[in-house]
Amino acid sequence: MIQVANLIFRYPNQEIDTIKGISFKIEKGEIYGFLGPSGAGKSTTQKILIKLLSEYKGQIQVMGHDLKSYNNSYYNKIGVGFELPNHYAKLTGLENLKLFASFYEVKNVDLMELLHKVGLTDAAHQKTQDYSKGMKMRLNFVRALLHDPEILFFDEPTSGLDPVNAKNIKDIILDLKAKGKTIFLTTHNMHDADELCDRVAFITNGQIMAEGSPKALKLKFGKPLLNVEYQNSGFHLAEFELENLGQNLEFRNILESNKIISMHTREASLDEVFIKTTGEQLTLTD
Amino acid sequence: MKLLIENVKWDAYLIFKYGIVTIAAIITALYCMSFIFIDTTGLEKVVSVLIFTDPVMYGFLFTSVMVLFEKDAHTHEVIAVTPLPVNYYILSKAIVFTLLALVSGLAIIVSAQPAYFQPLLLILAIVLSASLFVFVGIVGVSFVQNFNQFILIMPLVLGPACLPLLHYFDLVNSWMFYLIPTQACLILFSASVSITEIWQIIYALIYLIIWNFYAYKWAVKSYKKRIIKTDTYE
Ligand SMILES: Nc1ncnc2c1ncn2[C@@H]1O[C@H](COP(=O)(O)OP(=O)(O)OP(=O)(O)O)[C@@H](O)[C@H]1O
Ligand SMILES: [Mg+2]
Repeated sequence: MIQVANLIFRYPNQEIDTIKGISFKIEKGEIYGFLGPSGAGKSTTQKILIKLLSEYKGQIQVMGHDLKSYNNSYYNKIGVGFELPNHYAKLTGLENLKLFASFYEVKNVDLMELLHKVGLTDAAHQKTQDYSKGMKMRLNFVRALLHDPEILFFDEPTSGLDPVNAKNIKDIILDLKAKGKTIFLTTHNMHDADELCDRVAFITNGQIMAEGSPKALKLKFGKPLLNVEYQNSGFHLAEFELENLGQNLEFRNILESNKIISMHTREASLDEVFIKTTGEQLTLTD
Repeated sequence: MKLLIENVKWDAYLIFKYGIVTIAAIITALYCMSFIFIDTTGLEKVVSVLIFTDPVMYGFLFTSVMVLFEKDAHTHEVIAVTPLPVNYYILSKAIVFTLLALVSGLAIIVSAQPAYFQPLLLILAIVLSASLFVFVGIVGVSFVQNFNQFILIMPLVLGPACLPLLHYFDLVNSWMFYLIPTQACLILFSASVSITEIWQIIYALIYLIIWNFYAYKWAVKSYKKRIIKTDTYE
């Protein structure tokens, strides 16, 4: 669905390339996550893919055609969820959707139904200037869906949302995937990426440092562990790798000569994999 | 074309919601009232200048304010990812503010009841001047981030734009005024209420059409280059 090869991009006012030759491929029906610290080039890559930046080097193919060959009708095929709220403050939520919907070819989407999906039914006739940050973000999110596009780009779709609404948004994203939509997602949130993405790319400093399914990455770079809490004149905590645990003498020793309080296995997290592959810690913003 | 009509509809609704229509209506009502009570015989020049400086130049101010409102709300980048072409966005603003200036200008002239009146020339004067000021407004506003900065650059446009008034009121005479497009605007406005030499009217029409064409191109380019592509939050 999307194929990027040797993408290089430099902002006109910058000395060095912001995107330093990245390549990736997104299949139809896939959720692809772009993860990386602030300033890595996630939004820049997304802006190139949605044709807001055009002076790039390298090849980009979307839906089988060179990205540069598309005119404005490209936007009938893609939906974009922006990182920060952007609505007409003096218009109601419903009017905002109507305004943007009037520019697309597909017109039969039920706008009230869309608002209902993200819990904005009651706020449909309220001006967006009176919305809370979370409400604005939810409106941002559904606006990307109002022309039933084939490919969706979401920049930090759950940032600024409470857990219930964040869960709801994630469910909708999974639902879109079930309908065969292709989804490009950027985030700093490892949990979301782990839950949602079929594949992720770790990007730092304009380069992709690792790529693969969250599961495969964790398997390859992270080690699942066992935490053992035991009593032996005071409480102690020990940590063991699950691999060859049966042959681990220290572990067997503890089992034989101590009172075990608790044992928990701990999966490698995507965070650990990220630190290992990029040598960088993700700055947490939410 | 369908998209352009949709955009015009929404822009009309938006200027109403922003309160721009109300303000224009109040100003127009004030002028109309004064002209109903004042006998404007012999004051045709003043009436046409008022129509020019008010409804028309407000197009410049209103367009800029509207684009700045949108910049504040970051809606430009959303518009940019819809199928709406940039030139429609620009044309839509020109159409809406030209219509507003037309309604306002015609209301004022009707209340002034000039003895000599060429409606077609007045309509041409308003359309060609208002659209020019909308295009120039978009170019101007593309260079600034907020209203404070806009106020700073306003004199750069309005200053030269007002110079031909010196000529118009016979204070200074020089062929150089004919280089300034507002000279052409003033000629058309005064031609609609007083007898004017034909070569002047032809000069004004041709000169304004040329200026509109290039200002429109410049507005599209400015909008693309400085409003959409660099519209970042940082
Ligand atoms: N309009 C611009 N002009 C010049 N440089 C820019 C512009 N926008 C971004 N940059 C630079 O490009 C780099 C990448 O920015 P980008 O917005 O892509 O980061 P990001 O990965 O999306 O970060 P975040 O997680 O904070 O959203 C940064 O160093 C930034 O300073
Ligand atoms: Mg970003």
